[in-house]
Amino acid sequence: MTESATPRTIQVDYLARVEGEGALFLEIRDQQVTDVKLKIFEPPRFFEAFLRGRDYREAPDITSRICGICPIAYQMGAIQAMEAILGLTVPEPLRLLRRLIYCGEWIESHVLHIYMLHAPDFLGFPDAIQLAKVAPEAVKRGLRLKKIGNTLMTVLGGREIHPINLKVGGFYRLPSRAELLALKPELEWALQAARETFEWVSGFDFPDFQRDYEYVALHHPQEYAIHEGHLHSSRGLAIAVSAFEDHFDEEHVPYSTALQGFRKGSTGPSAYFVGPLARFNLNFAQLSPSVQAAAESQGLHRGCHNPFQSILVRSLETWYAIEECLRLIAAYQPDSQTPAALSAPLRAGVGHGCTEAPRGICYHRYNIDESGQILEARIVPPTSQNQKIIEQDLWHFVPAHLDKSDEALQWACEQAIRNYDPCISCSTHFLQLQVDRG
Amino acid sequence: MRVVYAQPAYIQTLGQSTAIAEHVQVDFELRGCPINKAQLLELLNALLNGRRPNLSSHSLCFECKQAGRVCVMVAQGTACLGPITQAGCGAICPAYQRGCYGCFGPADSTGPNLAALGQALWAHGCTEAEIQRLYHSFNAGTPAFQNLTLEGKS
Repeated sequence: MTESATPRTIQVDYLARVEGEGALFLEIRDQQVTDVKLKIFEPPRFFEAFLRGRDYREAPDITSRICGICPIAYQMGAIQAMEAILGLTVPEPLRLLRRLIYCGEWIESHVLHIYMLHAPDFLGFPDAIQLAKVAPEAVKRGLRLKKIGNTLMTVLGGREIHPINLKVGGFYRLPSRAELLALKPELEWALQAARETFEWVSGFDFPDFQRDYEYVALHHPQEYAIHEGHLHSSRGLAIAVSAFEDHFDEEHVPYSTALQGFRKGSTGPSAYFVGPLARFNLNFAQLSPSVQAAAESQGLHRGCHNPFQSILVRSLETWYAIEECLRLIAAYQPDSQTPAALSAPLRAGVGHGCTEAPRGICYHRYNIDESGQILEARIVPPTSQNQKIIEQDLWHFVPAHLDKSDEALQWACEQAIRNYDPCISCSTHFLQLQVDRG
Repeated sequence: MRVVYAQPAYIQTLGQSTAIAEHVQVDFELRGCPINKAQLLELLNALLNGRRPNLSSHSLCFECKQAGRVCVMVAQGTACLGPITQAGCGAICPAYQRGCYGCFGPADSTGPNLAALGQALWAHGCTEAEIQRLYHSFNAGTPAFQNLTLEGKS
């Protein structure tokens, strides 16, 4: 253990159990945190360049490659933007099918993070494989629960990674009622497993840590927003998705090639929080009664402002997503009149899209010409928006834990980063941790 | 006419991204974006047992025929890269009523007959720009597509 008076540096060159690769650098001098840098190295805007010159219909197939965990978020943002340009509004059955496949993505992504990436932090294991040695039943439950999310994506999307069935205007092929009803028994098992998951993570110890965040999430008047809505913030912002760039921007910090999102304000730029906690705190009233009751049992109904408890909220959202799947499947009654997709005459224009990726809002803007060629594309993934908040969390969290050894401090810092389930591969690739105590 | 990526201004970016086989000896290539789970298991199994992996190198069309699916190109006139694309995904796209967009890359077996497919796509009403886009997506950097000339169509 390093002497407390000695300045020190802690560096994690390769942060494990996050999606993608990045680094963290902490500098501590005279018992004060003097520098925190979340470093991301790879160019995050590669895809926006790929998209230029492509046909607007190709966008979902290209953007899905941004992420193997949350391809639907990238496909649907692009699709929404193109539909906005064409003036298309998909009919209710197609809208609900989109919600259904998105629930599948939430389930597989959330469960992956809860069981494989985050739970080992709370239970003191380096990874889920070590965890499986002592808690095999829990890990098996997690794997089976994740699989139902994958299955939904496969049935509706053709395959679980980079699905092929979503298109501008709807789907290439609609599933039959029987195909969806076949998923019901496993979803009913999953509902019970989601309850057990929430009970399991409720037993974890959470560091006492709260901050006053500005939460930003989609809000929909009729439902817990997943795949469409307006943008709301906990400080009173309520705007259409198309106004995103009037209120939010990104900046290039010298130590990272990834852009960092910030909220524009009269008093200067400020950090904002996207993801499960933002959705939960802004849209709690729209969760189902059973999920609300479970939240209340842990005192979360008044709000959850401790990012370490995001694992609880992810469990509640998983539970809710499974309930939604059962509801949407029961309501799905396609008939011969239901078109798989709509089309509209091509026209030039600018369109916007935004959905709630598992990690938070994912914003898209496209400019296409009259031949349907993409002239310009902008994609703002959730992790780039949370980068500032992650750094600020560490500025506040580390001073209370300076008595820890480098090893224990590094563990706690990595856990604090994982609270956000950062999908660095979406914004770029790479995470290493370095703590400098001099 | 040399077929290039849809926007030459962005080729510089692609120019820095080259195939791994140009830099190191590649013993075996699993195709697909994403790769197929069953193919991965077969490859690992083969390596563990010291045998050659039993993975198809023929075109996607075989998978549609084996599954008894109606050809989306012949029956519906949907542009499909199945005839030139390596099998392995199970022909998912035609099963979902769309044409294959070639994410497993050009088929190894006979060398993809791009010119013949180009003629067929042309006959089905595809414009040259559409054919070029189809041929120049995820696998635009493979030799088969790089050296493509659409004879008589320029």
